Amino acid sequence: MLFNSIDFMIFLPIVFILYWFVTNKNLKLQNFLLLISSYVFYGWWDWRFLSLIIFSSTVDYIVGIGLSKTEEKRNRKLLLLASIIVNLGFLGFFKYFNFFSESFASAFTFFGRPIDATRLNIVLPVGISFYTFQTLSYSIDVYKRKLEPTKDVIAFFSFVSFFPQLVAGPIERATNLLPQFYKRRYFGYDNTVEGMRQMLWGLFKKIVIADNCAIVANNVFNNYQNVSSVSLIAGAVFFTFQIYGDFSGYSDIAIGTSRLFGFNLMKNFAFPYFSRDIGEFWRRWHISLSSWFRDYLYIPLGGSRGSTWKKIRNVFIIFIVSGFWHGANWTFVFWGGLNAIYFLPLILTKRNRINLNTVAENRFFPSIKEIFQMGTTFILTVIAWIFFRAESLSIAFDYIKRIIINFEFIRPRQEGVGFDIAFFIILIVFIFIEWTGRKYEYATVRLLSMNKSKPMRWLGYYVIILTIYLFGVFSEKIEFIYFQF
Amino acid sequence: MKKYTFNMLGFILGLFILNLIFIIILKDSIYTREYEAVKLGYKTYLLSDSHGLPLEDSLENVGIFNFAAGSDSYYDIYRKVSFLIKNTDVERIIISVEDHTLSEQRANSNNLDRSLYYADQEDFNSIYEFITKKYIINNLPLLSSKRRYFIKHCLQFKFSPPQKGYILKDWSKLPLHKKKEMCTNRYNVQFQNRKKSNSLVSSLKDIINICKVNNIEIIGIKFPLSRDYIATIGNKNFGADSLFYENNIKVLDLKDLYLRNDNYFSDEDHLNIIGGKIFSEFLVNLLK
Repeated sequence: MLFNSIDFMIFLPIVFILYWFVTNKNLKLQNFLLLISSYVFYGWWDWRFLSLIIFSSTVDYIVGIGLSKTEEKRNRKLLLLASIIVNLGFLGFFKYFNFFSESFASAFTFFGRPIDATRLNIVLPVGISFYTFQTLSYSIDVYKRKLEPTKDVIAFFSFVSFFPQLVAGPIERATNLLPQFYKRRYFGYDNTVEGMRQMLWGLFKKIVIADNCAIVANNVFNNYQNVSSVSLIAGAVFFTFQIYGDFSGYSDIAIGTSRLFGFNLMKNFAFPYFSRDIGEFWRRWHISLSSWFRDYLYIPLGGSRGSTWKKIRNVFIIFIVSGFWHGANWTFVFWGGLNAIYFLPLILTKRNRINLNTVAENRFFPSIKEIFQMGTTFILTVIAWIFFRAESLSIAFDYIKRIIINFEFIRPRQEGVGFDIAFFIILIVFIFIEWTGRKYEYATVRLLSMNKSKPMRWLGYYVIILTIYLFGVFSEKIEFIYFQF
Repeated sequence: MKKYTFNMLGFILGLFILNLIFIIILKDSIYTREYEAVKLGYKTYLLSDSHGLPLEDSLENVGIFNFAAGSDSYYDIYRKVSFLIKNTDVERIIISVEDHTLSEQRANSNNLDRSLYYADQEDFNSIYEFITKKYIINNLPLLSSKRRYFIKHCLQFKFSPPQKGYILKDWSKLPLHKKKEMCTNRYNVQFQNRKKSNSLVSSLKDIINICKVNNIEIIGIKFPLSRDYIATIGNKNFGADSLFYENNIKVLDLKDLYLRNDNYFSDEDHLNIIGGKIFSEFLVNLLK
């Protein structure tokens, strides 16, 4: 069930009404309704996926109970290991079996002993990369005694399967989200309306910005050998906006939807394309994932402490694993590695945490230096996104090679790479709105939430809705990019 | 909660008012008005997408009604054929079987919202589906991604309908680079990275079958294309004509008819009004 679908438009009000009018007086009923709704939501894709999430939830629930009953270090480690093996085992099997099998076979072929790759017809369960990490955070935090294990089955299963963020995040920490299931939620007008505003903005980012950019990007990437350098650059830039609009839009819808039910999820994007360096970019892009890797992988490995070699090793491990998390393809691994190379100079010179505030804070115009910094960071991320988007490493390298060699200026429109001028204006307005709203949770907080005039706020809502209606792309073929992870 | 409910109801009311405004915009516009205009007294009907539009009503004096509409797919043509069988004494149908008409682009870009006008309960799987699609969703343009394109154009042209593209344009007057750009764009839309639509194949087969069962003669037609566009598409063809050949149905392949007459075209693959008139005369002679 996609957020931008008629099914969800029917599903959400029904759950909302039942939640606040039928089950609101009882915590267990509230959680139970969320659990059932989440399973309906998830099973809408494929009911078979439910068995996996229920099994994963069961394992981690039992591990939590087990950890509460034993103080012996060895037993506790075994329980944690069981959780890690089951969760990462499922993830590894469904996501990476064919990749490893084919890579294995390719390696043998390379060394002159070809073998047939065993390939299984595996359907990747939607959201497995997300909820697996979410439940792992529970097991790890309970093991580290940061969180009391829960005995409330309904609360725990609801936490794992909570539908607004189940299939594409934010990846919530158990320490943040699970306690919210222990307390009855009360209807709050401001929180609910704020959630709806955020959902509206998320829909705009996804349906208007991301999906229109996808048309141009797909056109270029699918036909990259027959277009000129300018079109190739345009394709890469449009993909850069596509992935931001798609993923941050989804996150806004997820966070906004959660607010409708009285839940507060973590922020997942903080205007990453206004970053002044790569360190800042990774503090602003997919925050839930990068912070997960930081806390559960990078810091346990030693983080930025220790010898230079260890720092380099840890940086590469975390970025490559992060790349690998995104998909079973060497392009994602390379993308991660490239980001590690970008990040390394900052960490070695201890400059990875110098831009902690918002760019041009309390000013409208950035300084020349800030413009240069943002421009450089943006270009580096665009280059990296080429690897993320390309179907293979050879295509990605060929794509970049064609930009650099035989650079010639041919108008993209002449090559069939065109876009509506009205959309281009919308894109500029969008960047302007994002810039002016860059210090808030999402861009239109100032325009809508903080606007004291009700008629102006309502005008703003209708203008956004009208823009979505007139300029949005309503095609079932363009899904959320991160669903494939 | 009361404040929220009250404000939500007010907001939804605003959306209904917006919906009503869109219904009014669409009601007397060419989007539905021209689509729903059909003359029932003919024995031969021409059914195609926008390629048939330049012929306008020039065939009516020889007993052929031009029932073409821009973006008509075989889904829509089936509904129209079914309608004609029930409401007219149709004896012959001429259907376009262009190279692109089985493309998934055509499957996605269709007139299913407009051809509902010609559909009745038998065309749906259940009465629930019939009522929902024909009477409820059809009157909610705010939920229709198709109708919004037309509303967008109406607003762009300040409530006046856009001009029919084929009236004034002359393909021969365009510079070469512009022609190449337009051909490439059109090719990308219709063919590049597109697959054949199995559901359109199924619809076309249904059209053939329903005509056979009702003893209606069926003829396929491929409208003329410009020389530049023929060069661009090469031998790309999703095979609508092959389906006709397999069923021993005659196909008038007139794609190459005007290779030396760029002035008959408004763009790479549509005749203009001059070309439409001349082609009509040719077609009438051919069908005699």
